[in-house]
Amino acid sequence: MAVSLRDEAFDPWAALSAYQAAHPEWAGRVGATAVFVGTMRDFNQGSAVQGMLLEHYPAMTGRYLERLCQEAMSRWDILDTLVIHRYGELAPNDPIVLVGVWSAHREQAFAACRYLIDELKTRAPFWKQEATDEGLRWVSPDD
Amino acid sequence: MRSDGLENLRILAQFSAHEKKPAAGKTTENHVMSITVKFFASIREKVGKSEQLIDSEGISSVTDVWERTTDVPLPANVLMAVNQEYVRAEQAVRDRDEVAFFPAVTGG
Repeated sequence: MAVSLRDEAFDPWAALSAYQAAHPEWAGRVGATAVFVGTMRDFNQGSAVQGMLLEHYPAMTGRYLERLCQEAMSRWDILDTLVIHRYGELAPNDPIVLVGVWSAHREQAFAACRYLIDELKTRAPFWKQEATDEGLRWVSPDD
Repeated sequence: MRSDGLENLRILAQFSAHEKKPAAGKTTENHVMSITVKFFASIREKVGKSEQLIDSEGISSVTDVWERTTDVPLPANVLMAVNQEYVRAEQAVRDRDEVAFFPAVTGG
């Protein structure tokens, strides 16, 4: 189980490979890897978006992401979880979040991955602010 | 708080770095009697500050903390945390707690 907060761009696919390579004990046990990658768009609510500032509550975000992973591990029969989330300045096309779940079977991996990203979006204290032609604006959960 | 370019840069610098400890607390000769209050995102802009240390004397709930630190009514949709756990406005607050106010989250 790993949670990482990054203030610089990251490659989610390289991170997945590296994490899996660091766990040779999974060899032969993994039947399914479910992955969600959230990426920054260059449009939202009808406006072009040039950049994004992602603010968070450092003392709370890591704790909540770890708790979500623990919940997923206890609810589903999965081998491991990896969550990486950006903060700071982002550019369009930058990955924002990676959720990876390894399991013997796809149903468990899909369900846990969906749970992690859905819960992260409603509970982890991150706030997006977009830079548009009209200036900076806070993103609402409904956007 | 002004929201000109300089202010935006200042805010960016503030949360690009890892969490900063407040400057010297409200320390008396023999005891620290303070509550750390943090404001994030649009709530920070609304109240015009990101952090404040207050004397814990006379503070019993999260509502008390909001009223001590701001001049505006507690927004209906604000989220609150005490020591990094979500709480309701009636939650008790004690000396040395960290209380945070912020809007609905938009990560992921």
